Amino acid sequence: MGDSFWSVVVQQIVNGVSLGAVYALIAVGFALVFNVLKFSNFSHGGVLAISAYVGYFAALKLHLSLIPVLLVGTLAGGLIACGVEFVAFRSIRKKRGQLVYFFVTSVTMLMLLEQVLVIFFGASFFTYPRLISLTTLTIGQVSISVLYVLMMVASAIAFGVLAWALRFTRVGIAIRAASNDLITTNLMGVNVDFIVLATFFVSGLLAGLSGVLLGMSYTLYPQIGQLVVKGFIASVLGGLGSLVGAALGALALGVVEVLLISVMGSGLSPAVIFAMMVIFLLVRPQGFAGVSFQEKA
Amino acid sequence: MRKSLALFLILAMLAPVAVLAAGCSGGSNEILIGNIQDLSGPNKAFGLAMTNAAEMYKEKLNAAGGINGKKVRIISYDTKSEVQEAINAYQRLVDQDKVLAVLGPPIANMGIALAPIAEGKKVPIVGLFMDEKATTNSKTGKPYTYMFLGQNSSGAQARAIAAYAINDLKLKKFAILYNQQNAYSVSLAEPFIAYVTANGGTIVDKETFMTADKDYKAQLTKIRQAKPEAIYMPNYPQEIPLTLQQAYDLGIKATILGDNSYIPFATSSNTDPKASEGVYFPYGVDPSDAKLKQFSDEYLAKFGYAAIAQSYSGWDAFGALIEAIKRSYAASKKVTPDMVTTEMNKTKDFPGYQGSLTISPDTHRPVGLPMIILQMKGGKPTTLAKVIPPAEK
Repeated sequence: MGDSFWSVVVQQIVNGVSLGAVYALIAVGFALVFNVLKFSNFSHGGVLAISAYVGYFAALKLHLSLIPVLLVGTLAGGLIACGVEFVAFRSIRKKRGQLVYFFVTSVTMLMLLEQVLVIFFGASFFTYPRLISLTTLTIGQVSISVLYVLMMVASAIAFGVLAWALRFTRVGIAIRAASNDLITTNLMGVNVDFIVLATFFVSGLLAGLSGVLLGMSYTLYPQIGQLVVKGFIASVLGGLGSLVGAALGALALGVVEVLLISVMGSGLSPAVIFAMMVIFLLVRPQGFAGVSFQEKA
Repeated sequence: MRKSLALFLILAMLAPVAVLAAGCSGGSNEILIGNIQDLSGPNKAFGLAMTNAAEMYKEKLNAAGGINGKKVRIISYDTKSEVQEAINAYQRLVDQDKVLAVLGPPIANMGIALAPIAEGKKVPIVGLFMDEKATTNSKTGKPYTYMFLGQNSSGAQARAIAAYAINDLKLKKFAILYNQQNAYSVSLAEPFIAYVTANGGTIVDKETFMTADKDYKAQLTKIRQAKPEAIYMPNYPQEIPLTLQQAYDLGIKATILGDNSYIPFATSSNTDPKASEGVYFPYGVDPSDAKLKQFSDEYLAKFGYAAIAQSYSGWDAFGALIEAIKRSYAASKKVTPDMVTTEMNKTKDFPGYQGSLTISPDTHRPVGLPMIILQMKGGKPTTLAKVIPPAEK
């Protein structure tokens, strides 16, 4: 194979970016809810996990092909997230509960959704039917799997649509207004319940998409939603609430993780990542994007 | 109303006690054997395989009259793949259920945790915990009195595939990728490295990952750079499809060597056949052996899914245990956990599916038990050779 030093470095960066693309999809959905409601929504991971199973069964039982499976999983994510908002968060919001209640509820929902999966499917793992043949693109000495390319393309399309919708659609503009000030937006005559539900729906769509893509590229197991922690780290790095920051934070996290593993091994690298995060937040608490929220929870 | 509620509550509380008492009183005309397995967790494929095999064995045994006119009853507890649950289950089996012996899990971490506890409780455990630390006390170098292994140890397995790679495949430069948090993986990796370096081979790269990791491309890229002729990947079920597919993604052409979990996890239902093509791994039984066919047909008809290695080796382990109980009765008309332990040490030439099972009293592990070397072709395993694992030095 004759790997030169630089081809290895480039390969590792490609590995990191492809891992970062996975994290980015989680981080942006996560950041979206933070943007509007100002709390870290860990139930995002639960929505991701259930959607991944929905996609799996759509592929297995209904014999759907790749694109329909992605659509079914994505839509399932949106609907489940609406259910979560309605059941778990709406009454806290109506009672003007403290942010810490939202946070605790979101963690509880993550665990609850995970346990639902354990009850129905057991803790063992599943592998997705092969919707896309294992194919690798090779450029020089650098290889990348088509599945990862697909993942990056899907992320890019999702971000593009999201950016467009937030800027140009009525609901999108209302979401942005709500993220600025929920109470004033309400006073201006916007139906806040609907806007919050719409935010959860969009965030759930992203969770669903990332769930199916994660299930396809890794295996499927009830704890797959715990990858939301990576999305959380990425969105903290990016500046909580900033969508562009979250995406950048995720890519940076993916690349740093891969480079650290290749330099110091898998045992030490998580500790170093968390240490780096602490130092980063000391130096730049507002993250890459420069938006700082006092209400971090 | 309140009185009847109180009465109901008291009865409800007493019910488990009554059930317990009934269970214990069965002791006079029943032989109780405990079974500690993962029945609902991530490794339930292994746990169910052992439990099913033991149940099949028991049904045949009881239908033929049991042991000395006594029926065998198996009490199974679910570990959910958690070590603490396995410890609780063993204590409950010994203290409350008063079992004679225990069929142990095929999980290294659990065997290692149970070994010192069994020394105190003095009820033997026969299982498939392959890590040698589950049968040998690493402080004294002597075997744990009450622990017995019913299949080749991980050391034997690692030496079998290493010897095959060096002697038959003529490979010299090896890399290794394994989960450093998993006792099973570590217990395979270390003897593999020791055997390779002692027999003229070299380890050009050693990479590890953690249980929570799902992406191994950083490690595999380093391995690719080190240009090994073969990569040993002794990993757990969930990791097998991922390691194979990611190695393929990176265009790695080196020969891949695996472990005895590659059936069914590297086969086409779990792993893309392109990624598993050509992989070599050792296995406890020969899937092409006609003797296995009757068992596997019966197993499939009874449980609705196929038998795996642990079904056959679980049968062998349970069978060796039953034979030890029979010998105790034959010798002195009664049986105690200590007598079963003594008889387990004398296990010789038990006709199992893995081969003729003889347990060494010096190690409490099988001696001279063969392993089969298989290779993946088109998503299916094909039998290449039967080997006797080189002895440890």
